[in-house]
Amino acid sequence: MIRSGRRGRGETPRWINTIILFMLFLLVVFGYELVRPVLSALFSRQDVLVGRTPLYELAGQHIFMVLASGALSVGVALLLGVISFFPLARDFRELLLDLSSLGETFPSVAIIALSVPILGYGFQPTLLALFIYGVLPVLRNTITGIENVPGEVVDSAYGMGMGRLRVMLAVELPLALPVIIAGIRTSMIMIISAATIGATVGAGGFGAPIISGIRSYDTLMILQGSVPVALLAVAVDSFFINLEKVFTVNNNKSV
Amino acid sequence: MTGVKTKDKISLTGVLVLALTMICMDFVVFRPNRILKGENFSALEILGGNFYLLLLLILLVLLLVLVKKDRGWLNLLTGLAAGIFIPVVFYMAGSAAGGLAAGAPPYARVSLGGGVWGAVLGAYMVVAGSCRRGGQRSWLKFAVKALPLVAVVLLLLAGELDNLSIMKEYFNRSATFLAEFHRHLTLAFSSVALGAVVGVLLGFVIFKYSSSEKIIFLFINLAQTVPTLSLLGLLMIPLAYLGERFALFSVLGIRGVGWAPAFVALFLYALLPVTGNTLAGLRTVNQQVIEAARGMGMNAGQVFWKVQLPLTFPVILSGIRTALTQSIGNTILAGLIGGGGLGTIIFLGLAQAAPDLILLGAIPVVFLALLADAAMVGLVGLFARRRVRGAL
Repeated sequence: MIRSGRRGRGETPRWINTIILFMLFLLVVFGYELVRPVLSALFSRQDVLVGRTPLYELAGQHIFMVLASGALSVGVALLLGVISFFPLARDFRELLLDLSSLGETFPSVAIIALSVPILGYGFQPTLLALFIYGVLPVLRNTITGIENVPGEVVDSAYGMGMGRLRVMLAVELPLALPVIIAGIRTSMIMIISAATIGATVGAGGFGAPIISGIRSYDTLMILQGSVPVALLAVAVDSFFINLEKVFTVNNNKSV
Repeated sequence: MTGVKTKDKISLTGVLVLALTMICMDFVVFRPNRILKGENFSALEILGGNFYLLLLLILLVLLLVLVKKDRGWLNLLTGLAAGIFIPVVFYMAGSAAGGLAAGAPPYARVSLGGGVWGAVLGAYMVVAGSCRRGGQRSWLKFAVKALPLVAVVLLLLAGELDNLSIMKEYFNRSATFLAEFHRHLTLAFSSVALGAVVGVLLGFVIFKYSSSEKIIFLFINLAQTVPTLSLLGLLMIPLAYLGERFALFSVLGIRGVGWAPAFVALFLYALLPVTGNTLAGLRTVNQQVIEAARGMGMNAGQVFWKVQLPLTFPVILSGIRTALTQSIGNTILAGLIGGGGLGTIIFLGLAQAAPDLILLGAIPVVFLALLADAAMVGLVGLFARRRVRGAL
C-alpha cells in the first residue's frame, strides 16, 4: 500500500488534471439534479420513491465525513509520529509502527461494523472507524519519513546550534514531507472508500444510493452513488500526487 | 532494543490498561433477549472472590514488569504470566455467563463487556512488550505469543464459552456459518490466485515493453483508487448485461448479483500490489546475473524461469501478501450483493441490530486476515533467506 517515491521524483505537477477531475465531479453532482426527472422516469423504479435526497446533499455528507475524520487523523498521526522521536516516548515508536501495519491488515468494514455495538448507528461509528483507519498510513509514513532523513543533515543542524524541537520542525519534518503527503494520500483514499461503506450503518453519503440500488437491483441508483464517489476519489488522488511532486521538487532545490 | 536499560514502558502501559479496564469497565452484559438493552456487571460484582485472584495476578505481572529489565528468562516469564491472563479472563467470563444463564429464560443473552476486551488488549501489550526485550530465543518468544490464542481456542473447543451470546449465535446457525466461512475463503483465495498470475504476467510485460507501463498502471491504479463499494456497483451493471444476453455466462452463474462482481472486484484489487512488486523485483535483478545466464547458453524462457523468477519471488510474494490480506477484508462486501461469505452474517447482524451476530462475522475475518498476513510474512522470510544463501 505504500505507493510513495516510485512515482514522479522531480516531475512537474500537472494541476490541470486535478482541476478537470474536480470540475467533472462538481458537474455530475450539481448537473444530475437537472436531468434526474427524465432519467428516473425512463430507467428507475426506485428513484422516485427512495432517492429523494439530492446528490449535492449526499456529496456534502460524504465530504464532511471525509474532511472531519481526515483532518483529525492527520493531526493525531503527525502529533504521535513527532512525539515518538522525543526521548520519553522513543520506546513506543516501534510499537506504533507495528500497530499501523497491523491496522492495515484489519479490514475497514470490520472496524465500522464492530464500532456499531459501542457507538450505535449513524455518523459517529463511521467517523470513529474512519478516524482510526486514517491515522495508520500517515503515522507510518511520518515515522519512516523522519527516520529516513539523512543523518548528516540532522547532525549539521544540531551543529548549527538548533535544539531538538527546532531540528524536528525546521529540518526533519520538511524533509519528510513528501513521504508524509504520500501517507495522507493513501489515508484519504481509504477514508473515501470506507465512508461509502458507512452507508451500511446509516451514515449517509454516496454509499446510500449505492446500497439501496444494490438491494433493489436498480442501475440508476447504483450509478448515482458510484460515479461521483469514484470521481471524487480519483480527483483527490491526483491532488495529492501533485502535492507530493511540489514538495519533492522544493526539497531537491533546497538540499 | 539491544542494551536498553530503561523500564519497559510498553509493558507498563499494558499493565495499566489491564488494571484500569478490569476495575472500571463492565465485565459482562446480561440481556433478557438479544435485542433489549442489558444490565451491566462489573468484574467485582460478577466474579466475587475470583476478582481478587485476578488482581493478584495483575500485581504479579506488574512486579515482574518492574524488575525484569533486559534479562531474557524474566521477560519470557512476564510474557507468560500476562498471556495466561487472557484465557483466564475468558474462562471466568464464560462461567459467569453460565451462572447468569442458569436462572434465566432461554432467550437471555450474556455478552462480553468492554472490560474483557480491554483486559485482553492490555495483557497482549505486556506479552508483545516483553517479547521484544532480552535474548534471541525466537521460537520461545513465538510460543509465548501464540500461547494465549491457542488456550482460548482450546477453551472454545472444550465448550467452556458456550454460554456466551456469541457462541449461542453460532449454535443457532452453525451450518450457515461454516458454509459462509468456506465461501469467504474460496472467494478471497481464488480471486487473489488469479490476480497473482495475471499480476506477474503484467509485471513481466511492462518489464519487457516499458512503453506499456503508463497505460497499464493507469488502469490498475484506477481500480485501486475507486472505492470498493463503488467498484462493485459499477461491475454489477455490465455483468448483469452479459448474464442476460449470453447463455454461456448465465450458465456459469455470472450475473449482476452473486459471486461474479465480487470476484472481479477482488481480482482487480489484487493486481496493483502484485504487478507493482513484480516489476520492482524484476528491475532489481542484477543485469550481470542475467548476462551470465545467457552466457551459459540459456534462452529467454530459461532465463525467466530459472533466474529472474526465482530471484524476484520473495518480492512477488510480499505483493501477494498485501493482496491477500486486503482481499480477505474486502470479501466482506460480497455479503452485500449476494456473493456470500462472512459479510452475510455481519450485514444480517447490522440489519437486526444484533451486536453478537456482528462479532460472529467480524472476528473470524479479522483473525483470518491476521493469520494470512503472519503466514505470508513467514513464507517471504523463508524465500528471502534462501535467495540470499543461493544466488547473491
